[in-house]
Amino acid sequence: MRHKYTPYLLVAPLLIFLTLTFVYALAYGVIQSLHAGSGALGGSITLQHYRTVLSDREFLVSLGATISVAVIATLISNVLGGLLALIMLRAGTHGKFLQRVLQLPIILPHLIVVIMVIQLFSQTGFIARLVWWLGLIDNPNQFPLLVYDRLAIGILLVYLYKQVPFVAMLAYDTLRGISGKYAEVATNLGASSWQTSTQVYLPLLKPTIIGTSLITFAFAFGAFEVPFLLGTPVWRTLPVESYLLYTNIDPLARTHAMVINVLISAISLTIAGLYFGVESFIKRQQKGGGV
Amino acid sequence: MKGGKLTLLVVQCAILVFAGPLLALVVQAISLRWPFPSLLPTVVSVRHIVRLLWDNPRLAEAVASSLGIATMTTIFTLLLAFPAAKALGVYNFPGKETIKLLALLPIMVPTATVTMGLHTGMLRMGLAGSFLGVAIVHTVFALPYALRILMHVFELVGERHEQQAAMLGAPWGRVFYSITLPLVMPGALSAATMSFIISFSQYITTFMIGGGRIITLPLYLVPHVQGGEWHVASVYSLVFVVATLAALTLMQYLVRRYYRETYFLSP
Repeated sequence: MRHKYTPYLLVAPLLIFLTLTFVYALAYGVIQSLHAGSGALGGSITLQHYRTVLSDREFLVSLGATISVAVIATLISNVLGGLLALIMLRAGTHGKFLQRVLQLPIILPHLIVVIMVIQLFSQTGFIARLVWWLGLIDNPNQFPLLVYDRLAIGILLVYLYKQVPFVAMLAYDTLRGISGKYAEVATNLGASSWQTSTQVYLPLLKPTIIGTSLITFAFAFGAFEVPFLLGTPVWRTLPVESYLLYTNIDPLARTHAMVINVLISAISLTIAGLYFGVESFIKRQQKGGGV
Repeated sequence: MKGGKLTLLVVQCAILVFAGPLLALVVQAISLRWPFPSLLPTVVSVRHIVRLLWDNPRLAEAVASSLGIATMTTIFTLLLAFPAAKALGVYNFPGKETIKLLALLPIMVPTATVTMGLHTGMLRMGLAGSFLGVAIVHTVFALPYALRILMHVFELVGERHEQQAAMLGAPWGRVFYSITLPLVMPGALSAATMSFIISFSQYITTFMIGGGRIITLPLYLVPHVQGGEWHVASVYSLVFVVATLAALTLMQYLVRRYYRETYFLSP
């Protein structure tokens, strides 16, 4: 009934499309970044641009800052999201209501969340006003700088507002799918609710959390609008840095932008590789352990 | 029902934290004056909102461009992801895992990076500055999500029902229309919703590939954010939210109507 080549025919349009767009874009970046002259394609290959970029202090600061922000956002949002899912599960109908509320941050684009964070956390924002009414500060300048700040707290708040609900929703779905039987068995065997949470739910959540960690990291690492609008002038995240170089009139800056892009892609793809490695390891382990 | 007071408190705090900021956005939109220490705006007006929305051809154009590009992106994404998800979800074949990996990679690489790599090519092809070009780039980033959702649905549904229908002599088209489509429709709706939202919130991709000629809602909004015009930015943000919700509700309505017709009108 089904021909041997059917699956290949079905995936062919997708593969052709991704090759012409995604793969092309990455390959173009690599070729441009190795390009020696400033003329047309061809000519000799050089690693000079990589040397220049990698020895640039500004780039190294950006690299460190971008990775730190992404790691911190990933850790906090996955821990809080996972905890929130466990709490939602115990809250019954209230949890279901919260689930509906959590759809909101998921639909809202980052751009609008940026506006919300400025409104709430800037020095004349809502929180600063509350603190003023409480008599803790006398004027806006005394309120700590939480947006456009060096520590990227404003940026982190945007990521958390978007990502905690994202993690919580996926984890909640997973937990509801598995909850009943395992938890009952554990309770019948005399486990406390804390034990049930840490020893039954947590291990079952592991694959979901690994997946959401990958997505939250990728986003916080590669987002453009958020650091572009909320970032400090002291340092920039890598995507913003490479965009500013790309739009510079100096053709050499454009090549440096491509170098940064290749490095960004290399980091992203390495992490994706790690993820798939861990995922297949867990699958094999579960198969081995389950039987 | 279940859970103690602490659980309830945490849930209530979470509702406040995640719904509160949107309420603040609404208050900001209707406030004409809101000087520092006051917790509520001192002058509230709705008339200036009407003025911002009415007789504003550029805003109308931005909404239309956003809706048009998001619709194109959703259609492209579903057309590419649907057959591929069927193959990857149901069949086993050599190379399957590699293809899955490749198709999910665009989630990982930053949008700005991919867009810079495509920019020159798009210019050469004459796609830069066109709706088609922008929709194509949005599709790259919507595809992994749509594919993941649809693949999962096909894995659950399998092929048994289709095989039964085919064995009973139903032609290919009829099997697809009467069996496959109703079974995977909820997944297709989620995939479409996701693609739509992704396209709707793109900024840098549209900015670069559109080359200043295509102004979607985010592009229209950003200068007001950079200029610190919070009031205007809040009003346009609400337009954004309303447009998204309207489009998603329409999609849901269409699917529901489709089900009603499939289940009650056909034999």
